[in-house]
Amino acid sequence: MSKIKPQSGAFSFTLTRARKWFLVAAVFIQLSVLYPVYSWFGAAEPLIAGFPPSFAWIIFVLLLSFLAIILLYRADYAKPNKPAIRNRASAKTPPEPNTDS
Amino acid sequence: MDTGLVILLIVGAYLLISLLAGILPGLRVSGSVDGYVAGDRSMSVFLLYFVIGASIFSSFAFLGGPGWAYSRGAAAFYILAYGVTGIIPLYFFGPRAWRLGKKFGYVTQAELLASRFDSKLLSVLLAVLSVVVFIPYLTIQMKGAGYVLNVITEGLIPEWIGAGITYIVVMIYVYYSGVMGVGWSNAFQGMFMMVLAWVLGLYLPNALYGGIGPMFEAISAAGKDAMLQAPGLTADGSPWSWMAFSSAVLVSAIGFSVWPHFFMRSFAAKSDKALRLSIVLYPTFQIFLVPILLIGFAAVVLYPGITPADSILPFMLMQIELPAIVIGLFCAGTLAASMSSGDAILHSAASVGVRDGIAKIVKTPLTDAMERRLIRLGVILIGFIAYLFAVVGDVSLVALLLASYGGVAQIFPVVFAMFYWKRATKAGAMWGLGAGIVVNLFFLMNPELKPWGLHEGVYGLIANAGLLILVSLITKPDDPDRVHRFTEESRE
Repeated sequence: MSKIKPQSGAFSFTLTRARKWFLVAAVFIQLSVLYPVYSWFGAAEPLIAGFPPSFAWIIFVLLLSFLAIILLYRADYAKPNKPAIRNRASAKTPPEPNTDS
Repeated sequence: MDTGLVILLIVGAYLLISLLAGILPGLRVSGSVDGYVAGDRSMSVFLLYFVIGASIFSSFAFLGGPGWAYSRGAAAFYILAYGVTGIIPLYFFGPRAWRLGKKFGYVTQAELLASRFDSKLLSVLLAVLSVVVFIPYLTIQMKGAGYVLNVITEGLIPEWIGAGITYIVVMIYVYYSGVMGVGWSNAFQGMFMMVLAWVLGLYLPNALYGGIGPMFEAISAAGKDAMLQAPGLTADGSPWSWMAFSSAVLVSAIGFSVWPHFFMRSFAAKSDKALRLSIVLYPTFQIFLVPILLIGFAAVVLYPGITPADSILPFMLMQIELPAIVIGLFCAGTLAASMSSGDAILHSAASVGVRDGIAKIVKTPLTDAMERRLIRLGVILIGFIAYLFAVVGDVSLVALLLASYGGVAQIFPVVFAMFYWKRATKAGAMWGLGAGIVVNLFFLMNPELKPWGLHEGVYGLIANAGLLILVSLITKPDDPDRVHRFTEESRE
């Protein structure tokens, strides 16, 4: 996933603040279903709302990623006072409205 | 009324509605290849949502999901885990692909890549890779359909007839309507499956144990705690290793968004916003895997030792005294799962095979009408080949499908470089993709040589990304105008 900084000029990312936060969240979300994080929450007992922790954790993470992507979508398509998406070229000059990825 | 008759009537009615839902939209799209492959770029959020969502509900999920939960316990959470982030890249890739498609007329993934890296060979390579991974995928869908009809009718309908009838319906609407047929039939099939998954997934634990909690307690009480502990068991019942689980999740998450049939739906969207919204809503489809897995867990204590594990869902339904109408609905639901994936794969395999494979090899350029005719011919041919495998093939195809994820994941680095890395070159892309496929294949065939027991796709991806970067940096940069089109013009 895109974790490389955009400033080098060799890349073409459209990174808004919301998107940076989202990508950081996505990395954590991905890590939370892999070893070792998942192993901390992967026990068989005690049941949480009827589900073993190993199952409940995955459902929780799924809901979390759903929330994260909804927030990203809302930020990307917000009707802003200031533009939601600002591209790299316009970073030094006043930002242009509605430049999308 | 006789149980068998009720079931057949319901299945018949379901097939008829699917056929109508699939054929009618074909009357409205244009007769061009654009209309057939990308639905004239007119799909609304409603249709896209179901087309993207239906890809998760295949025969594999409907029968294999409960089968995994039943035989391998927590290992089945793998299916949920990779989808958590797997869809995210498409949120960023999709609108870029859509804008380029709208501006320059692309309708497939291979077309985009071949154009960015100016290589016919790349196009043909991707076409071959796609068709090779699609055929076993399609075969599994067909086998699932035949299998369920056979079990539910207690052998009245042999598997080859069940698979045959179901896929004749699919072939008719895909042949006739192209992607819009796939879209509308998936919308109908998707709604049907959603209801069914929740009803069965909540009903079975309640009816058999008095609730979800008591069901898991019963599994623990039976001394099967190891099963519920992440990452579950392997197929032979020993604990699955964390390294194998984590790397399988990672490779599948990377491969998910670049599956050619999935990726190319981006081109069918009405707008980039519609595409994004349907991707944002995707987890609502994914959460339906939860009741599906509960069905499998419900069988662990009550019906031990059923083989093959994938038959656990139809097996349970035959054990419990259910009204014929419920069994009929379930049967139609499983067919919907099979068909909604099968039609998309059939459509994509034919489109990609012709447009990116054959059209690039022949000397004289194909006319639009000729291309559309060839794609339709491809639908019949590929459907027939997959059917032959389904009727005469054996179980090893499931392994082949799981293995194909490692191959598909190799497309990710070049897609990423196409949109974001200006310095990527043709030579870099070819070496990266080529090495990724070869290394993946090598470790697939020689699993004993794998260091640390990771998924073979990981080694492929390391070689792939490494060579893509290295070779790109030591070769002359690609034509800046062409690069600009893909990295900058795709932005807005």
